[in-house]
Amino acid sequence: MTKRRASDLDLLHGTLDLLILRTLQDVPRHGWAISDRLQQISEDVLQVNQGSLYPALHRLEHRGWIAAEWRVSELGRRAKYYRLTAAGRRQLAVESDAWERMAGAIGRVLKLA
Amino acid sequence: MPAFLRKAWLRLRALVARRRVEQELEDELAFHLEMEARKHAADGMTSSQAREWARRRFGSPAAIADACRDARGVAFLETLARDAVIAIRTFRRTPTVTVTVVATIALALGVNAALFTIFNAYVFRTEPIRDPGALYSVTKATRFFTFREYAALRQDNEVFVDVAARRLDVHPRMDGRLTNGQLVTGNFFELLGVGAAQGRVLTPADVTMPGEAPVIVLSHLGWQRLFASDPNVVGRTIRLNGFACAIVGIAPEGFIGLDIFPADFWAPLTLVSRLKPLAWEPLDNPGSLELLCRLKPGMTGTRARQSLGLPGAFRLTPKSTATPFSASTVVAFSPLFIAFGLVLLIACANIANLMLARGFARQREIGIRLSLGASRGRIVRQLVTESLLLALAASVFGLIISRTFVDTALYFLLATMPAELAEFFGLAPFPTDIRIAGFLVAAAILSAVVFGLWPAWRATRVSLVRASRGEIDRDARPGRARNALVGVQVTASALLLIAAGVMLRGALRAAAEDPGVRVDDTLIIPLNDQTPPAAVIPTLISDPRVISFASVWPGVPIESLARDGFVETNGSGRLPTRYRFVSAEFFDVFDVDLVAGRGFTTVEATSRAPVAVVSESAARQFWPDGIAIGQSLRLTHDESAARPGDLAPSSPVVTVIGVAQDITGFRMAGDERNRTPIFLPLPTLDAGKALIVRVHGDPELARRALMDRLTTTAPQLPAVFKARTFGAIATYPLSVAFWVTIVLGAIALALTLSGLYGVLSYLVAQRTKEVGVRMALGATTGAVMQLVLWQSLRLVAIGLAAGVTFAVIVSKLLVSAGGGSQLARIVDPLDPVAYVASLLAIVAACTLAALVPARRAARIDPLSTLRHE
Repeated sequence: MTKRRASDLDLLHGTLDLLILRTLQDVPRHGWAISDRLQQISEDVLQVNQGSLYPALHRLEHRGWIAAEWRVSELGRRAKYYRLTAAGRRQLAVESDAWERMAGAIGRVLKLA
Repeated sequence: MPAFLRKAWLRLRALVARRRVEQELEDELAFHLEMEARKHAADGMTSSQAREWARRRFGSPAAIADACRDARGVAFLETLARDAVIAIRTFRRTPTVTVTVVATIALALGVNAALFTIFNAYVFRTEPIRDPGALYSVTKATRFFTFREYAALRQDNEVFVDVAARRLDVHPRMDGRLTNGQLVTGNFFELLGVGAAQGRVLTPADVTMPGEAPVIVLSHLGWQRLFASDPNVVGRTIRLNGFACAIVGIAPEGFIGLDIFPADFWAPLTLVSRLKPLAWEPLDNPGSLELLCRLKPGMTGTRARQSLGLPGAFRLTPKSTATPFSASTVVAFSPLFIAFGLVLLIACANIANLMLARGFARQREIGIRLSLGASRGRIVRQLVTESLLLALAASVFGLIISRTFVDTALYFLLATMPAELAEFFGLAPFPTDIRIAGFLVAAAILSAVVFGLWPAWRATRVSLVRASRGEIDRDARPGRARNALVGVQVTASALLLIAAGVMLRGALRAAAEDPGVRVDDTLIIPLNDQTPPAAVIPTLISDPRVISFASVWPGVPIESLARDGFVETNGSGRLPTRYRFVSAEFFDVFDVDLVAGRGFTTVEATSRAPVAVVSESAARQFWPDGIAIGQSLRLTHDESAARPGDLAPSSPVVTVIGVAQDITGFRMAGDERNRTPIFLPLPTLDAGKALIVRVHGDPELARRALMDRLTTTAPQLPAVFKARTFGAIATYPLSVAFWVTIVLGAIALALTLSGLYGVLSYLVAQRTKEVGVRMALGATTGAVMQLVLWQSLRLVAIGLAAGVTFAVIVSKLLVSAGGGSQLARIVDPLDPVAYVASLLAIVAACTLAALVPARRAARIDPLSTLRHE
C-alpha cells in the first residue's frame, strides 16, 4: 500500500499545478527543465523536493491538461516533454485569474487591516 | 485527440502496457537525476558528490514513483488483476477444491435463478407495447365494469388518451379444441400500439353490432399451438363454439395479452353473447369487463384519480407486465424466495466451511506474507477476490442450470396436469434475459461475500511468531465456527424437508378424499343457455359408453353453488338453508345412498311434485329426535340472493320422502356451504345446468369420445370434465408445492451431508494424535466411534430443534395469511407424521455421513501416531 508522503509542497498544493501550467505556457519542457525554471524565476524561494513535481505532472497529464511526448533532449537522450493542451490553457486562465483575485484581496487586507 | 479519448488512452495504457509505462517512469526519473547531477558537476562538484546532492534534493525515488502510480487512478484495478492472477494460480494447484466450490455454488445459484426466471416473466417482463409506462388498468371496489360504465368513463376524456375494455377467461372451442381468448373493444390494439406480424389487428370497425363482425386475431402462441405455425392461416375461417369466424391476423411474437395466462386469440367484445354469455346480464350491457387506459401526457396516477372525481372510487394500477410489481406480489412470492434462498444459504455455509479449512491449511503461506509486510486488509482482499472469481465462474454454470431447471419443471408441470386443464392451459414464455444475468451476478457477489469474507478474516488471524517458525496453529479453535455453520445447514434442511412432508401428506390426504359421490367413472358436463340438456341428451342416449345420466340445477354438489333459501318446519322458525334440483336418476348415477325412504320417481321429477329428499345432517338438524320421512317443510326462495332465471321451488310446502347420505364434496375445491341440505325434483330434459354421466371403461377415453361427438351436435358446449378432475384441480397445486419443496429439500440435505462429512473428516484428521493417545490408554474402537458420532449428532440435534421451531413459526404465519386458511382445510401445517418422518430422515442420513469419518477414527493405529511424536 502506498501513501502519499507529506511534503513541503503541501503548502503549495493547488498552487503547484498553477505554476507548472504557467511554465509550460510558451514552450514544451521536460520535468527537470520545469523544476529548474521554477527555481530560477522564483530566485530559489521555491526550494522543494524536486521529486514531488512528478506526481503532480502525472496527475495533470491524467486530467488532460498537459500532454506528454518522448523527444530527444539536449543530452542526446530521450526525455519526456510536457506541453499544454487546449483544456490546460483554459484551466491556466481560470486558475491564474482566481489566484490574482486572491492575491489582490490578501494584499488589500494586509495593507488596510 | 479529444481530451476524453486521451484520458481513456492513458488509463488503458497503464493497464495493458504496464511494463512499458513503468519503464518510462523509471527513465523519466533517472533523466532528472542525471540532469541535476550534471548541473552540480558543472558548478564544480565531483561526479559522485554531484550525484549524491541530486538524489538528496530529489527525495526517495521509490516513494515518488509510487505517488506517480497513484496518479494514474488504476491502482485498484491493478491490484485486482494481480489478485486474480494469484487466485487462478491457486485454483490450478487445488483443482478438486475449485470444482467443488464452483459446482456447489452453481447449483444453488441455478435453482435461485430458475425461480427468478419465473418471477421475471410475470413481474418484470414488459410486453412489446408502445410506452408501457403510461398504461394502467382501472379498477374500482369490485375490480370489474359493465359496458355502460366503460362507455361513460370513456366519454370523460380529460384524463385518458383512450380506454379499452376486455373480458378475460373466455374459453370457447376453436374447431373442437379448447382455447383461452380475450374479448376486446375495437381500440384495444391501437391503445397498446401493437401491430400485426401477419395480416392485420382488430380495429374499431370490426366491432359494430353484436355478432356482425366475426373476425379474430391469433396470438403467436395460439398460432403455434392450434395451427402448428401454418403460414397460410390468415384468411381462413374457423368455428368458435360452432360460430364461423375469420382469422384476419397474427399478433407479434412476445405479445401474450397482458395477463398471467397467455391468450390464444383476441375477438371483438361484441362476440360476448356467443362466446361467454352470463345468464344474468343483458346482451347490450355485458359486465365483468377489465379496463385498460393510457393517461394523457403529464397526467400522473394521483392527478388522474382526482380528475375522475369520487376520490378513492377508482384505482389505477400500472399494467405493463402480467403482474404488477407490488408489495402483495412480493409477499406472495416471498415463501418461495425464502425457501430457495435457504438452499443458497446452505451452499454458502458449505463453502465457508471449506474455505475455513483451507485458510488453516494455508496458514503458513499467509503467515509468511504477513511477516513480509503485507497488511491484513491486503490479504483479506486477495482471499475475497479468490472467492469472487469462484462465485462468478459458478454464476455462468448457474445460468445453464437455471435454464435446465425451468425447462424440466415446465415439462413436468404440463405433463402431470389434469388433461382437461392441459388442453387449454398455456404458459407465458420464460426468457433468459439481461435481468436474469444481472440477478446471477448480484447473487454471486453476495454469496462470495457470505462464504469468503468471514473465512478470510479468520484465516488472517495468524500469530506471526509461530507462523514464521513454521508452526501451524492447530489450536486456533475453528471448531465453534464450523459447528455453527453445520447447525445452520441442518436447521435449513429440516425446515425444507418438514415443508415437503407437510405438503406430501396434504396431497395424499386430498387424493384419498372421499367426496361422498361416485367419481371414478362419472363425467360432468356443465351446460349453458345455448346448450340446454335437450341438446346433449340425444348424444348421450346413443353413445354405447354411457350407462346412465342425470340432470342437476344449478350445479353439481362437488363443484358449484347451490341456491339460498329459508326453511321452516313444525315448531322451528325460519332457518337459512340451501337447495338444489336434481333429476330422478341423480342418486343412482352418483351412487348416493338413501339411508331412509326413497329417491324421486320419474313421474315426481317430471311433474316437479312437492316432495324433497334431505341430507342426513339436515334431517338431524330439523328433527333431532324424530323421523324425517313424511314430515313437511315450508321452503322459500331468498329473493335477495336471487339471480335472473333462477328456478324457484314449485310449491312452498314439500313432503320429505327420503334421507340421503351427506355429500361432502372436495374439501379444497368447494365451500363447506355448498353442501346441499335439501334436494328437490327436476325433469331430466328441463332447465338443468349440468349433466352427470356414468360411463363404461376409462373415463378419460369416454370423455374424449363424448367431446368429439358433442363438438358437432352441441358446438356451444364448453367442455366435458371427469368428476375426479374437480378433486385433482384442487390437489394439483399441492403436489406442485410438494415437488418444489422435496427437490429443494433433497438438494439442501445433500449439501448438508457433504458439509457434515467434511467437518467430521477434518475433525478426525485434526485429532488423530488425541485419538491415538486415547487408544493407547485403553479406549476401545467403539468408544472412539461414539466420540465422533456424538460430536456430529449433537450438532444435528441442535439444528433440528431450531428447524422445528422455525417450521412451527412459519406455518403459523402462513396459516394466518390470506390464502393460508383455505390451504389449512386439507394441509395440517403441524402434521406430526410429516415432522417425525422428516426428522428421522435427516438423523439417519447424518448418521450415515458421520459413520465414515467415525470408522476412520476407529482405525487409527495408536502405535504409529505415538511414533510420530
